[in-house]
Amino acid sequence: MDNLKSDFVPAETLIKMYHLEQYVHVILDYTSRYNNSNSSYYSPFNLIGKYEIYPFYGDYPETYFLRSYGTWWKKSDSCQSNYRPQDFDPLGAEDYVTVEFESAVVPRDICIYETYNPGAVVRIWGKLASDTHWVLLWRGHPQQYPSKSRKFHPKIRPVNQLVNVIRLEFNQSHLQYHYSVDAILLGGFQPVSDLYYNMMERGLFFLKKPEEASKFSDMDKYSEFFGEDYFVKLPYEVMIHIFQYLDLKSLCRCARVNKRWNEIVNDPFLYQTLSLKPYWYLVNCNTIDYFMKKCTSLKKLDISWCGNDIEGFDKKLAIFIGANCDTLTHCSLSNCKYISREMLTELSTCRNLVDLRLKNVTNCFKLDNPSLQYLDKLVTLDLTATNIEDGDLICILKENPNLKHLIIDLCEHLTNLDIVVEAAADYNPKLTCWSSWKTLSLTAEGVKKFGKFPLMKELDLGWCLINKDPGDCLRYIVDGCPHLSRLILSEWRGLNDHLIIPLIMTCKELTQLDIFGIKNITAELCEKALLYLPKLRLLDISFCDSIRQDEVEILRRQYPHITIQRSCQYSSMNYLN
Amino acid sequence: MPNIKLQSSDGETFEVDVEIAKCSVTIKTMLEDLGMDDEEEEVVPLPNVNSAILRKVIHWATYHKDDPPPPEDDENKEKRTDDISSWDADFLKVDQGTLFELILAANYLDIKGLLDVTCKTVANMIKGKAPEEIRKTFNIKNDFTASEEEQVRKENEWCEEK
Repeated sequence: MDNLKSDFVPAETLIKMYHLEQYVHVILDYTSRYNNSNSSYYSPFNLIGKYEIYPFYGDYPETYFLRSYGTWWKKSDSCQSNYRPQDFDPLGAEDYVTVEFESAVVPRDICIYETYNPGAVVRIWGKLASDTHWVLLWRGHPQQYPSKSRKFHPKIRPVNQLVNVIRLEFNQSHLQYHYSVDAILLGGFQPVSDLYYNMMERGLFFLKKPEEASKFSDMDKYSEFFGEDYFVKLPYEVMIHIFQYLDLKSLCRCARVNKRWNEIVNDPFLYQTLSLKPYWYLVNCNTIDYFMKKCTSLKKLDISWCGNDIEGFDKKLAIFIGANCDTLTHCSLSNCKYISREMLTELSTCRNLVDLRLKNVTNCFKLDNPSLQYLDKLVTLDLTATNIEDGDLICILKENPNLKHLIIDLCEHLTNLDIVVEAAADYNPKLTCWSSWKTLSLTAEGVKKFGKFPLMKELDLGWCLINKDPGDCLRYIVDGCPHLSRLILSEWRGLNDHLIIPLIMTCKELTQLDIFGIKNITAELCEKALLYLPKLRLLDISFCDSIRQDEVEILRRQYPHITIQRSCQYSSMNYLN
Repeated sequence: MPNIKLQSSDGETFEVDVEIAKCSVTIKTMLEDLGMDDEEEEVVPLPNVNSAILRKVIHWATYHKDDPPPPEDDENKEKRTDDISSWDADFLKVDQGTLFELILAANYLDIKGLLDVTCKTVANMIKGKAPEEIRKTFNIKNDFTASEEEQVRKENEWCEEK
């Protein structure tokens, strides 16, 4: 790694320590899950303990799956744009999982047992047992790797601090299909005695601070400069023009260059959008104070991943949002676990909000109480894996006639999705994107209501009708949604060729069709889809058991420009055992 | 194609296709406001741009003459700096003095595309550098006192890894 220090002295050579290898003990946090919380299939909790599947390779529900893969998700109109492109993450982390180990160790080895489409890890963080700081242990670009299981064992940065929490950041956008991890091993050293442990935790063994900026100390001696400072010629507005391209961290550093730069860098124009997600490991209450001074007309705020486990952060953030409530149009709070009902009330005063994302904010909605009731300009609303209830959601739908994108994946507290669709049909005629993947309370009667959205382009109803008779409900979508380009019908087990044919013959705009897990459909139907849907680019027929693998291979050869997904377990464990 | 004559601060005259010259909003407005006919043989003086820089600007504008009009300057405008075309990157492989003169010329002549790409180039030279590295790169004098410097360091320390 780039910051490897040559004068590093490993702690284990200085004091007596035990070597310890351990697997995950507790799952603390995650941004992506494939299934509802009551299912163990593909669940993050499958990371706990030793690997069970490795070295086998394939689609095994006993491992942890990331929900998204490739760029199909990013092509959706509802996909979050980067609120502040200057602060894009060069490694493109999309998801993370945070795991805890039983004993804190000085980390030396981390092994990640990848069992499907390996290569997504881009960063490995360790959280110090002594405080809330995170240290970067490894980072690297996403990796291309053959379709084999892999024990990923990167060379991690040498540190002498005790770590018992590890976070992996993933970028799965280059992968062909879902990424899966079976287990994570943390190897390292633990002090033999409590005394040593406490001393280590307090950093008493290693008081030497890493030298900072010392390589420039010589610079200070040059009081007269050789070259010319051309910036002095640039007018204020041109300086602003340059600074507007800088990321937040660079702006912080520019503030320290000289007095003029310091003044210009404080211009609120430069802080109309904030994306703090790439800095999640640095953000604390002081960060909010810092931007409180600079932001007078904040329009977009992405604070996803930030502020968890930081005392008082929720109150700070509420004040910050309140101070910018008149100008805020976009707000993303994904995985901010501390978002409370009070915070939602604060958000509800941001009357100009058009884009609100509360993905994985699991407990912000309260029973029988309206939330966000003052918002009426919403265009995009992401409530993935929240505890929103039917009545509350219907109130929101009613107030927001311009709503175009609604994402309510994995919402287990929506117990009557049919009435939600019905309300949306009444109040939200502009809907172009509906996603209720694995929100299971939908029935065929509710599906029929989707026929009332003439502008609908993307419809994700994966697993919604898993064990229900679809009847002729698909017909309503076919007749009512002529512009449909993405349709996900995973595990609609009651479907068959006959029920899907009208879709293929009518919805000519389809680019993505997911009929995963529908056992009755045949290779003949797939061929029709490939032949008659001119824009089709993705067809997922994983676990369509009536279609033979050799038939899939033939279709893939015939239609090389279309991705035909067919997930499988490459080796039967029983067979190999 | 009608041509127009542009005169640099040091007196050199450049004959340029009017359409190319009009990528400068300053020149375009000048022509329109003054009712200068395309046919007329008048010389447009550009007292803020010397001949070396004007030659570069014309070179740039000629290469980019068929570019689509730049998008409206609004908040959604692309703020990334990794999208500089390889031609522009080569074009801007110049010493700092020339680069900054080009910025000033683009600003004065109001050529948005050139201003954007030159400012992005400077932004890229700033990115990822510590304050002292920035000063060194651009020969900037540190005019903070020691205590002021310590104060601004503290004010801006949230983004530094501990």
